[in-house]
Amino acid sequence: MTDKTLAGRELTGFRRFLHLCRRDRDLLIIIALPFVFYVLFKYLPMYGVVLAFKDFSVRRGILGSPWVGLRWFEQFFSSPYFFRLIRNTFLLSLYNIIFSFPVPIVFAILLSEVRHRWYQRFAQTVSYLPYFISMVVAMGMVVNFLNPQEGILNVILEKLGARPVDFINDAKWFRSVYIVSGIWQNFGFNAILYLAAITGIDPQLFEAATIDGATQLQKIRHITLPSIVPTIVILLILNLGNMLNVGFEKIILLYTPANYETADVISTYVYRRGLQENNFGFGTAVGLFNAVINFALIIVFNRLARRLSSISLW
Amino acid sequence: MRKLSVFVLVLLAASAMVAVAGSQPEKPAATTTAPAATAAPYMGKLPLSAEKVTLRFATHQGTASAMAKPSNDLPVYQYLEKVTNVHIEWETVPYNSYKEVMTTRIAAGSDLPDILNLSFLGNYQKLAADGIIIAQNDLIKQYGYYINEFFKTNAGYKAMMTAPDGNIYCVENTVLDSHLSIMPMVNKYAMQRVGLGMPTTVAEFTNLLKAFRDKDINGNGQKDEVPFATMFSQNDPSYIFQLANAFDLEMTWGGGTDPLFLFRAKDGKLQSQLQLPEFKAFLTWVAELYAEGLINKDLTSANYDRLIEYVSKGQAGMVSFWSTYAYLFGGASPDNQGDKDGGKASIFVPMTPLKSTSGIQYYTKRLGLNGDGMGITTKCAVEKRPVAMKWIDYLFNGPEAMMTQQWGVEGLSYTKDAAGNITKKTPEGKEWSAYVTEIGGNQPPRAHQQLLAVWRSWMPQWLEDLDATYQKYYKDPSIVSIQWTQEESDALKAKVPDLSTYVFESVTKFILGQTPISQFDTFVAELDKRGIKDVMKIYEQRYARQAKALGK
Repeated sequence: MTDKTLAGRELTGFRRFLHLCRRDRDLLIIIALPFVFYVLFKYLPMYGVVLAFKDFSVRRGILGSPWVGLRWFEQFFSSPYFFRLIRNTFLLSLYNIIFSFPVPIVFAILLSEVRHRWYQRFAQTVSYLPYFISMVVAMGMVVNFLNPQEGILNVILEKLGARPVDFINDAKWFRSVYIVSGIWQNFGFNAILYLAAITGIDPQLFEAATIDGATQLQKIRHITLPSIVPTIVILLILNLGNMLNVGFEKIILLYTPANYETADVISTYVYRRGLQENNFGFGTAVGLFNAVINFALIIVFNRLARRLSSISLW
Repeated sequence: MRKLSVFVLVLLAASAMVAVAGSQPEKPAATTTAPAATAAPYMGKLPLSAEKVTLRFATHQGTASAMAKPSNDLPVYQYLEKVTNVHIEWETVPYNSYKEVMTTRIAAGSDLPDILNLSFLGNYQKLAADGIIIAQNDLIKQYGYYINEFFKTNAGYKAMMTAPDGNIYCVENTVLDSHLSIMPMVNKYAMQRVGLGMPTTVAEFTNLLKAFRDKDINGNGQKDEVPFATMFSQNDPSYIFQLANAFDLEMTWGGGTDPLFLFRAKDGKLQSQLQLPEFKAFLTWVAELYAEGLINKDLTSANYDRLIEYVSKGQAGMVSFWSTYAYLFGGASPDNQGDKDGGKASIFVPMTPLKSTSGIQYYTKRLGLNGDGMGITTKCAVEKRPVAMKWIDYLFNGPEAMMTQQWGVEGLSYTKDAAGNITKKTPEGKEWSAYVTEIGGNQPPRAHQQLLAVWRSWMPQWLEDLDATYQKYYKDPSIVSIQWTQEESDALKAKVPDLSTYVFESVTKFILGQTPISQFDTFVAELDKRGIKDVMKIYEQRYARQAKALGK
């Protein structure tokens, strides 16, 4: 029995649709909840983007509020901080990809090479832990470690004869603090996907390579790495597509007026101007701008990936 | 791909239909809501309702250790329900996220409580025009017995609670404006060790800090002193700005998003203070204190716990915070000899104000209202509004409600004899004021009056005596934070956030020495470029109303 026939009859149109639904009902039930989730929470709220062009009034509702054209976009583009916000957001994301993205890959490869199972498990658990510490607590620890007066890092620097550094207040250091603390928080957890990909490699490949006399490094280079390239590329595209989505939670916890120069990003600005000032139109306009750029970036990088490696999201 | 496009189009169409269905414009809410009174005038009689009435009240959970999160599990709220016959369903949100949570909820316009704490939720007139809250004038007239009594003797507070359109949209929190607010507190034993007294001038202040730095005030043989432990942030810069009085400036902190400190009134005209040479002199001085290691290096990220840590290690000779906390800093200090609460004798003593360059010695009074206000929402059923008003009125100034603030609950935290004499009662091992707070008394996180009587019932005697001697130093701020019109509020919203960001960024960099003071003129010019004069014009409009409303 093929998809198109039932008891020798050719099915077309709606009947065929019903037949297929009946046949795949288990799969449809499984997909139903995520589908409803996406429709309810991702697609339906999208109509809210019209707020970016409206002067939102609670009484009149989203569609009833008066149109203001591009007023909020003009305000954002003419803000003295526009270019700084774009630069900071873009650079934090870029540095994140350059420095944070490879760490879990390297870690996963190293971990997979460890022969002692207990040590492998121990290292993996220890590396996960920071991921499960709440952001507020983790950043509190970072601020304490880096305290210019009594932070452990500055105490060590002083013991070594160096001058203490005000890591938090010095705008020059903010990006490093942000990236390094991000690596510390996430590398263990992010390595899971790569570890899973490595586990999926056919062990016969390694055995054959061993018989052929390949060294450990050669095995990594010629077997492990090529095998996890699809995972790496997909995660890279997803990361690149989120380039302007720098989370504001961590930055709010770390920034001070003295490091705004490098720390203030689009999301923190939206928080100050949109949410704190009840200016939902402005907040939505900046959010929409952010989303459009991200959308464009994901398309560009996806095409690039497809052309260069034949691996892509779609 | 075509199928995908059709799917997306169908989805978008569905969203639009839901949107249209879900956002029918609401009718503007009526502002006069009280049913005509037929009975005798309301005179504050208990219970507030013959039948039990349930009201929903959303508020934050409080800002300080002197506040308890409202809950029907607490004896004070159980007692208030018993006497008023009004059951409150509390919806509380932590103070730091209250604004975000509530503004989002207001924007959704649904699921509003009956009574809402309007703490920094935006312009009251706008909230009323948006159909969120109602004007309370008529209700106050009929059911605001205790509020009207309060207004009779406090016309200034009434003027500040009245919006430019003549309506009162909420009853607001009144503050003790001239009693031990934010100011430096000096460790008197540290002063004795370095052989210096309470500073009265900028030079003496600087010398005292230098002595604290150089003379090992904690005697541990290490150079770990933090002569002046303080804080400076965009959320509250007053710990540093309070000292600007010594430079003939008046940097009043308006709280929230009102950067009142930008301006002062002199001879009936507003001045942009940050562009004055006096501000340059002040900044130069603070930057020197920082550069000389006289202020804690982490002043931009420090908080109360950090200040307590510096004090408890004996590192801090001086600390800047609410001076009502002086006894807590004293209790934490190594100079405290067995006095558990630090309340019996003074250790950290609130500093007398420094003499200004023109010879005046003063602290600016705090603003009379602090933004916590009880608004009645349009979602409160019309028949419930009189009771809601009576409840607000009663909790604001009703005698039993005042008693709970000051003393807690009879039988639990105090006893009263036949002659009416009150005796404090505390369970074994508890400190009395902390116990009163714990059961729901002291300062509630809703509009209330900060009362001197409440304050006196738990303040150590030495601090109260000191406060009396400091009264001569308090001076009214020249600009008062009366309410903005809706238009002013919208205009400020477009200008102030970027301006504030620039001001705080620049001032912090000057203080930390990241920008040399030689660039002060660039800062002044940049403020003009960024529209400080436009902002000042809006403040001038409000100032003109202030003169009319308050006569000053």
